[in-house]
Amino acid sequence: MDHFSELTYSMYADGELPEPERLRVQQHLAQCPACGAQVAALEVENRVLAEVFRLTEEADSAKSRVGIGRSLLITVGSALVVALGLDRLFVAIERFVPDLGSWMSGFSFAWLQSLVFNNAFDLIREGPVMLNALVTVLGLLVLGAVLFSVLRHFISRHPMSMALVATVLFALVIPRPASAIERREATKLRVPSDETVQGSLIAQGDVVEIDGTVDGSVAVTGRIAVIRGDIKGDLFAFAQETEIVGTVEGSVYAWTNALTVSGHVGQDVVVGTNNLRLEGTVGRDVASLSETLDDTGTVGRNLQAYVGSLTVSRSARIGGNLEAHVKNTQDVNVESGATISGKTEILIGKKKSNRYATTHFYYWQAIWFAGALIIGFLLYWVAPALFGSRLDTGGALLISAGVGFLALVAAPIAAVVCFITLVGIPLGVLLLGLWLAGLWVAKVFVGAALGRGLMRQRPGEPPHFAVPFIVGLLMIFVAINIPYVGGWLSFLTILVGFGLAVLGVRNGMRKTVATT
Amino acid sequence: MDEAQLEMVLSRAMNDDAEAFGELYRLFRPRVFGLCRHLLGRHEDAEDATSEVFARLPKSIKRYEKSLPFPRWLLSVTSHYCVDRLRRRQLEQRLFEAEPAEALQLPVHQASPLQQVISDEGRDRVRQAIEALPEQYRIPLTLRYYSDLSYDEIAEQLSLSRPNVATLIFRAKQQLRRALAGAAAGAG
Repeated sequence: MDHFSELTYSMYADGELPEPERLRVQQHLAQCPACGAQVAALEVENRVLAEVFRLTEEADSAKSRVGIGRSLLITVGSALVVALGLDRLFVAIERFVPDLGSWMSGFSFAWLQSLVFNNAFDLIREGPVMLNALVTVLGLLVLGAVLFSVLRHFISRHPMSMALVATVLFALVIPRPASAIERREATKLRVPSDETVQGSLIAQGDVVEIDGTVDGSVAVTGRIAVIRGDIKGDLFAFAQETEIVGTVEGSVYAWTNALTVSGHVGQDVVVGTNNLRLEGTVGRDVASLSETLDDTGTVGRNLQAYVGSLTVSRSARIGGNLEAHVKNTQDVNVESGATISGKTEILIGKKKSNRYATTHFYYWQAIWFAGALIIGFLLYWVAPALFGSRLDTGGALLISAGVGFLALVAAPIAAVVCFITLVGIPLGVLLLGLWLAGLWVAKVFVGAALGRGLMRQRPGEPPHFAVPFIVGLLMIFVAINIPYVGGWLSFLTILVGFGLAVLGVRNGMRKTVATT
Repeated sequence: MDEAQLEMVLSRAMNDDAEAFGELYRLFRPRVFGLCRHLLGRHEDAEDATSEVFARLPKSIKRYEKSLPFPRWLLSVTSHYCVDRLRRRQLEQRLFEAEPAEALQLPVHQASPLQQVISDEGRDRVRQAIEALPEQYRIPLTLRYYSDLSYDEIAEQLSLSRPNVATLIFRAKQQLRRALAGAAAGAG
């Protein structure tokens, strides 16, 4: 019997055999069961192939979803593991070196609260209150959105690598559950005088009264907060009216309409309020941003007040300096008989001198600019690949800003982790050094990318670096010195610059790998 | 979406309706991406090529003739673009060596291991084996079984003769069988 070749059968199964030959094959197949089986197998094979191709299409379109789901799972899981591990580590350290331990567990609730308070206080004190707060919130939202989109973008491409970064961030976001934090919520919330709360307390209610003892810190939000008992830690209060009749052994951080301290505060009072009445004793400093401040009690150290009107009555005692920031001298009333151990400074709020009107300003800007230029050229000379990333599209800008944000956050954390391991200290120092350098060099990268984006060269022209770079850098320097907006632009520049540098390094490494 | 609806979207697209292009993207992106993925191999490249194909669509759709079903036409535009891209990637290198077609009159032998892989796990292996094929085999195979093109159409796209296409597809399958048989032997 005259068999045909396998190739012929393959074409036959594909339906691609020209007519006369197809007929001959068909006739042969009718007589030869072996070849018939062969062709049947080839047909099955074709179906399998088509199906595999079809399935990969579906799998590919479903892949990103699956990938995100899986990497999220990995992220959360490993974050929990890392958080748990860190917690154990801190507990172990705390056992050996108690003070160090409490410092290291920095990301605990109290630390975060005081950070928020201090920063909020500074922010509000420094500038136009509402605007700043608004810009901050908006900025954070935008950052969050950028971070989210970048994370999504990267997770869909490199699930594992991003899981790692996200894990580190996540682990630090999870507060340490070391000391117990109790949470209570009621319209009228009262800790009776015979009760002792172990650990810290978060209290929410319309009226919150603490008559008993709290071993840790207290955070209270509500309309009225009255402390008659004893708080061993700090007090954080967001309330319309706050009254401290009893004792707070730590510090008081409050954002409240009226604060009265008739009891005792062991350490500092940091407060933003309408009316502050100091009748009792404060162990250390008082810093206040308020409309009115009446001091009839005792302040252990300095009293610093940004205030509409300040009265220091004759019974008052201030252990350190009195520093009052007011609009007019007559807004301060220090009664005779009041004891102020340090000096009294009354600072009249005056307009800051216009820094743009000084030659000093331009002199230093010129030096910074020249420095940035030199660094830029040196970097381009040493590692041109670093300047490979582009900023032509909004997407590219977002991506670099996001990557930059991650690098900005992750690098110091990684450095700290290196320090903890002791062996990694040199690496940590190097990382921190690179990070600090990056903060400054960021504008160089942004300048170069910006210049190149603006001054598109025509195809065929040899690529040039200098002119676009100088133009771009000049624009950056002008932009970050614009009043009010400049600070944010500068921050954005750092983000984007960091991102460009990281992407540049990545591209550079890729190219090196590709050429070797 | 049925034929009539697709037709509507298409005529809107041909009148430069931006929304219609969005609709087309949503409908056909997976298929176009899948083809790019198979032809180009790399995920990033495939994404890039997919967006390029859709970015060019407002212009290229003017050349679309109603005689061809739109999905087929779109896939052929996509494969044209991908093959172009591959050629540029390889610059001077010849993408397809002309194969002597008659050298392949092999004797009949036993059935293919390909048909034994009906399970999902098996399909995964087939998929990996396809990805591992050299470009000169993977591309015609993809055009044949993913885009469902005829030998003649493939020959035209790749500037090859019809017998050459037949040989390449045949060899691609042979290599697949070998890879799968080897993998099966290695696993068992």
